[in-house]
Amino acid sequence: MRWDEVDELIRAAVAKDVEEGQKRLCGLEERVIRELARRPVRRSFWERVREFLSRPAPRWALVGALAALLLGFALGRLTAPTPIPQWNPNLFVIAAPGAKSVAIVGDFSAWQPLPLSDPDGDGIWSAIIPLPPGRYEYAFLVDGKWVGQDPLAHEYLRTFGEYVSVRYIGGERADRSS
Amino acid sequence: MRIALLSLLFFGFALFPVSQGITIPLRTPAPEEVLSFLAGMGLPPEFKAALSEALTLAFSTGRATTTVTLLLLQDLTAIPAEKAERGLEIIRYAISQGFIVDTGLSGSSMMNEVRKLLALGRSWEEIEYVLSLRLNFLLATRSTLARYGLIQLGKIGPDVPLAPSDRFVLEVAWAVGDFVLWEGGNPGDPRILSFVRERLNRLCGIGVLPAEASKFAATLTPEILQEIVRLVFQPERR
Repeated sequence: MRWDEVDELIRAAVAKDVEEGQKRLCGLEERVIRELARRPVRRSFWERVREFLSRPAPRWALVGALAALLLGFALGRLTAPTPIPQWNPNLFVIAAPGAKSVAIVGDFSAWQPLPLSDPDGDGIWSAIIPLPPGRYEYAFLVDGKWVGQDPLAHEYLRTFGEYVSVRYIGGERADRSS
Repeated sequence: MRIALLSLLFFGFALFPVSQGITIPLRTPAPEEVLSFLAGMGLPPEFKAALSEALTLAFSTGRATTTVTLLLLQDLTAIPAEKAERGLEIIRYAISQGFIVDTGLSGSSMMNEVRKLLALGRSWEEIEYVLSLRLNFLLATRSTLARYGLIQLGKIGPDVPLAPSDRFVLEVAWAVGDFVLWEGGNPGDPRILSFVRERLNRLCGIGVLPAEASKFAATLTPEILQEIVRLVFQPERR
């Protein structure tokens, strides 16, 4: 086969491919636009935040939300009892199945009753009380009856025949083995 | 957006109390409030004036707190005025001698002891007796420790700034008092030394007493503690 015949064959093949490709390209632009419109534009989180903040109405909503948060926090602070400083929480727990009310009295409350709770009704009443370092005498009141021996106490005292539990709070030596 | 606002409001409202755990529902009144309450009590005016002066100094020097004092005064309105006066006179005298009568919401104090005994339902006569013994323990402890050279006695009075030895005297007096009053111990009981030392060492361990107090506790002897108990019941020897 001569070179000019090969060249002719190649041209014919290319012309055929172009002709078929033109059929496929017909309407390609519309198809691409339709496809892009169908798919959501993926934007980063910060782009979306910027866009959100650039709108006037959401900006006021954000200001309102922050104001609500501050108001809520202020209300919470005003309505909460005077807090003692942040100290380690101490768990006070007593098993009192069937009790209607359980409270704890002690030095830390100036011997005023603080209620314990039993949310799941299993008879285990408890309270977590943050306390500064110190030696604390206390007792439980189960339906108003004095219960002075807490197994978790470090020691006991007997006052006029009634037991009072004692905990030493705040140091590594304040454990039962000390 | 409305839901978001409400959620934030609720969250903010809940945030503070929840983060605190259970808080003690006690406030710290101003000294004026306590003194004003005292002024309204049915006690003799001259006694109220003397107690008011003592309490003012006690608040300013740290010998008493307004929280427990106000609660105690409120308790005492439920008993006859002459009985309340006798009990308060013991506390006033203790303050005039420079003793700590109230350590706040922890530890040893005459005022919280009264509140404890009231919670236990004890009679005022019993409470008054315990108060007078506690005062005797304080006086006997201070004079004995000074006599044995374990503390140095300087100027004594309600206006004198507190020294570390004041808290030490209080804790020794309280431990010896607990041993005799509540543990049924007597001066000759050999357990008194270990009882008092253990108490002091534990108070050192939790930082209520300075670390030096532990060394100090080691210098205590049965004789010193027995002497304290003897002086409590034989005050003429003080």
